[in-house]
Amino acid sequence: MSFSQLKETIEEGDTVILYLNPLNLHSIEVKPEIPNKHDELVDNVFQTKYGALKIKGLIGQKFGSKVSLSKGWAYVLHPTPELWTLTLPHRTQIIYSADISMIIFQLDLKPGCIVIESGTGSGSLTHALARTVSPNGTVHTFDFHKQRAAIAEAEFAGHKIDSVVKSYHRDVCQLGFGPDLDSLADAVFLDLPLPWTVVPHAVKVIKKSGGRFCSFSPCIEQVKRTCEALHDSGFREIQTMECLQRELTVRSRTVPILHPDKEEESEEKMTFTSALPQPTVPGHTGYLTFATLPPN
Amino acid sequence: MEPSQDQSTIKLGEYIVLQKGNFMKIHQLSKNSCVMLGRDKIDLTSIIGHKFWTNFKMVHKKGSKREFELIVCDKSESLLNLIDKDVRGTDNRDIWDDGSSQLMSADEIFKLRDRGCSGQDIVGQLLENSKTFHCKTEYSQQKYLKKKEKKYFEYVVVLRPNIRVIAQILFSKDPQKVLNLRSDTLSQIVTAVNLQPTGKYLLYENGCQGLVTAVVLNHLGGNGRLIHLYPNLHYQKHAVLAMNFQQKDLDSFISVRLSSFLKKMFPDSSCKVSGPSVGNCKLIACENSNDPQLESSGGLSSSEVINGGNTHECCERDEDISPRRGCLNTDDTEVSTEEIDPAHEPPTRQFIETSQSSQEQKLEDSALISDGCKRKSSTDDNDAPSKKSKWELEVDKAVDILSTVKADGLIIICKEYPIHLINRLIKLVAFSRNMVVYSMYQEPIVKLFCELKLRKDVIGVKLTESFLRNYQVLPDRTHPEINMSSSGGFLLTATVVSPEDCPS
Repeated sequence: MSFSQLKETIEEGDTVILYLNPLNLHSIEVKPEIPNKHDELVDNVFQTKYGALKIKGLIGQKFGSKVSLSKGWAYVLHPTPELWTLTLPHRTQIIYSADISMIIFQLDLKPGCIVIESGTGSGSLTHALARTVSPNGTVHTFDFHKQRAAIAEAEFAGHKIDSVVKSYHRDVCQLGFGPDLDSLADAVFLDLPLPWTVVPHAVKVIKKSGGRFCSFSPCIEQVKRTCEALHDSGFREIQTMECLQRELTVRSRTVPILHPDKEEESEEKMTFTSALPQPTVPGHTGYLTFATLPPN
Repeated sequence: MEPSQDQSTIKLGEYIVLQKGNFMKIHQLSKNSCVMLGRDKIDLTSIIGHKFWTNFKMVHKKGSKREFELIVCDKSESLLNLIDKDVRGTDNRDIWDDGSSQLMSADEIFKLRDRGCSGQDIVGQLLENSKTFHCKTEYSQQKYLKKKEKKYFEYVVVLRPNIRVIAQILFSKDPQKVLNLRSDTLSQIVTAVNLQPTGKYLLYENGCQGLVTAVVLNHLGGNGRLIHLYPNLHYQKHAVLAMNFQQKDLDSFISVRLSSFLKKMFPDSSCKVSGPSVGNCKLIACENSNDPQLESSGGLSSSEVINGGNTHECCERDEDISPRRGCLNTDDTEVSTEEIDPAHEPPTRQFIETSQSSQEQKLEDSALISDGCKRKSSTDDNDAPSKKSKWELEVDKAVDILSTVKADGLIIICKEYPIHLINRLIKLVAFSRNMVVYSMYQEPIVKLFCELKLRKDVIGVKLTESFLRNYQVLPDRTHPEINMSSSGGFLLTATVVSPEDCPS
């Protein structure tokens, strides 16, 4: 129950996050034994920069405690959708937390909502959507790539969020979302190369009482066509935005005080704390286009 | 609270959002409700019972220039329909600003308005009497009409408030009154603290009109727990009220005064302080961070801490002792009544008064406002001494909950420098759970960052700022909007872990 229910102690089958430092995180499934190449069960040992970790030893440990590695130590953390986003195996490009936060907020999601997502991709957003609509809502997530859909579905089951997430292998551009979801959704999210082709299908699945729409597109040409399609389909409050989160690096700095009259360098120093963003930061992730379908 | 769960109809007593063009306003709908939109007074009587998203047209009331009533209409006529597609120029080389392009005088235009002409008619006449409009390019014509639309738009749509709209309205109206907390940063608070609907969260909020409280309650949906700590005799709840929460949403809500909570939660550390280290945004009295006595004040001490006596007396004395507090209070009152709305103002005032007298903080009580607010204000106080008042029971409940199982997250949004508060509350947070601190200023949160870095029981301390840019998307005219918000505040996130070393 590691993603869907917060808990204290690590059990077999949980996913845990191994925290070495802020930039060195790993997600690990707690399986004490794994088969080797001769198909014999052997102790599961996870290798890190600071040495090996015996997975068996994690069982019974408290989340948030220190565990020893053969050449150091690390923390074992409770998984969260945000930590998963940082550690998940990439099968596609993924959406990161700043955009995810905005998407959830702008789609008016809360527990009990029904939200439709396409494509599933690597499931980064899906985990956060599942958290928001749980325990009694549903995320219906679609991907046209058969293998990706299958891997994602297995992951959702492994993370025990499959009671909230329903995965489908389907090309929604061609086929829409299917009749079963007609007029059921509170919100639709699209991260597709041709989102405008899905706008009419989105209209069909959104509740009669209205709902919200979001499309994430890296290119402005996609945004333009999506906005036109939204306008033509009766959407209101169409809004496009870009949202970035910059981390500030905090450092203590000391600089000499310059005296223009003196020849030699001054002994006097000034010390301050600086907080600057990294020299290079992501300057663009994608455009987020939101819209409301009013009740009909 | 209400037997009918119908959320699609405009109901008396509930909060609504009025949208006129790009302008939005939160309003509580009372009997014979009127609302000011700009300089126009609008009678809202006719909207009750209609569905949200209905279009209403503003129609002049007889005999008055700026008073309107609302009638249902199919759709809002856009002024852009006035454009004659065949008449337009290719560029502006022949358009000269000599002040004579409009043939009508200002007086004549005012007269049209005073006669009760519709916006459509007035702008139609403006175009007819303009020498240059027809020479403008298509885009320039649209831009001109969009500008006129701002002034003459006469349609109103009524929306159901939700957290997105409320955050947007409060921020765009006056960012300072919500501590510059922009919607992107607000949304990041929810994810950074890993807000699970079934979790238990601890929140201290001071200075953003209940916005963060409303967000957390919205995301709990009545499932988990929110233990909300507030600084003074009453907390700001504008945003919470505007959400029209149902009783089931509020079941997860426990709201207690910080000082009462701390006293009960940590009875050993006595809450006596030598001087009133009144919390404000300056980093006062915080330097001796190892002094347990000072620590207990959390930089937020009230006069209650000083005399350790009856909270009710202290509430009143607070204002006298600390000019800063007094200032805060007027601020609050202003916040809740500023909706320039005669119908809204009295209940709000009344609420503040009653809450002062009774110290009850339960929201369902405040929701009674619309029903005339007949509250048993004094009964609680006058009960037999053995019987605990409602607020005491709330404190007991909060302490009980956190004594058995620790919190799944800590959120601190305030004007004050919160290091002492964090030192206290961090003990109540379970391991491997997150804390989030928001500050509108960079300097104090950088200082806080440095202090937290020294602690053994938090890891992954991260300081971020966010950037949000809106776009105009129009055929051949797509670009970022001219104005953008320059700061959405600063967020510090960290994970609480066990300070113990691993058994090796």
